[in-house]
Amino acid sequence: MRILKNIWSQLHRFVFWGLLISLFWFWIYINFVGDTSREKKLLFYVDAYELHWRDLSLALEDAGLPDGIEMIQVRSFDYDIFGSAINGDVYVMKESILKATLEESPEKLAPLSVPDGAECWSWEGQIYGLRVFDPATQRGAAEQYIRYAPEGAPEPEAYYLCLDAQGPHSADGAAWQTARAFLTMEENEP
Amino acid sequence: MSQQIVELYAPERLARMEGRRRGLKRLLWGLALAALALCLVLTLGANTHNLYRRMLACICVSVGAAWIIIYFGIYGVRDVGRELDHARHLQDEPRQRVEGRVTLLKLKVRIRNSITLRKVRVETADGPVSLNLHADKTQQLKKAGPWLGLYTVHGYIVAYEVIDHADS
Repeated sequence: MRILKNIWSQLHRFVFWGLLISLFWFWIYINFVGDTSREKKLLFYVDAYELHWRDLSLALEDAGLPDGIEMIQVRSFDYDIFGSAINGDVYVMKESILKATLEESPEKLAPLSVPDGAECWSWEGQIYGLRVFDPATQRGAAEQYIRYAPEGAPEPEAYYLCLDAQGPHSADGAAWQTARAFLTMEENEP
Repeated sequence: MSQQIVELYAPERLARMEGRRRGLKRLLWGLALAALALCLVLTLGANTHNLYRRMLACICVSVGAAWIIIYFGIYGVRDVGRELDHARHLQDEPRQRVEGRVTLLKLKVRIRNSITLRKVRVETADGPVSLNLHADKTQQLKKAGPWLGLYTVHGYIVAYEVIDHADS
């Protein structure tokens, strides 16, 4: 009873320090432990109806981190990022957005060299996108982590994987290595 | 006829209190350092897989340690320290003697935001006198009986002796 009374009389201190310490660790983990410099991380933007970004991120890391890369961050794709200073490394985007991007600023995306027979999106003789979701068959890559279109959608769009031309990992091959890991991902449960 | 004087703040008792206070202080420092070390180990071993679990563990460890340190730091170190200061101060001052029937009142007061005092009323030959007693000495005085000779400093009871009286 006395202990409870003592705790009650100092409740403001317990609450204040509890909140302060929680915020401190949250700040440390989000900004330092859970993040790293741009050179050491790979940004993977996905535009999809539903995305399990954390599971996909873990699966891509488990598939093998490219040399010099410490983490792969999967984020929801927003078309506005093309107008900003942010450069991703790998994108999964809708056909319509890919087309618009190539019409407006083709220098944003890197041309790909892909094996014959692969479903691609070509622009002025060069391949810029690899098909990762086929609306005809409703099958796509890494489906355990990504739902490309809602159930029973009348005319879902195709999705393509593209690489950023200006991203820090387009030249060192890390972006392409991660893209390949994404394309060959086995259909395991997340 | 009066009996032996019982000191409420005997030097050896104060020394024991100080020793316990110092021990507790060291223990709380140890707890703080251990919690910090554990959080560092948890943080250094964090990766994408266990990031949120590690963050939650760090929060639980450090908040739990902080709450223990706050509780015992206030009630075991700060308050005991203030009580010791007060008791030592009372030892150095000249004493007065009051004799009569002692009644412990229910009224409690706090000084220096930590020392709880119990009000004591003494019916002396010259009339009633109001005195103060450290709350943790209440049982000791109650057991001694109602007829007492009290030694006081600035109205605080520092020692007592049981006196023989026809009513006791």
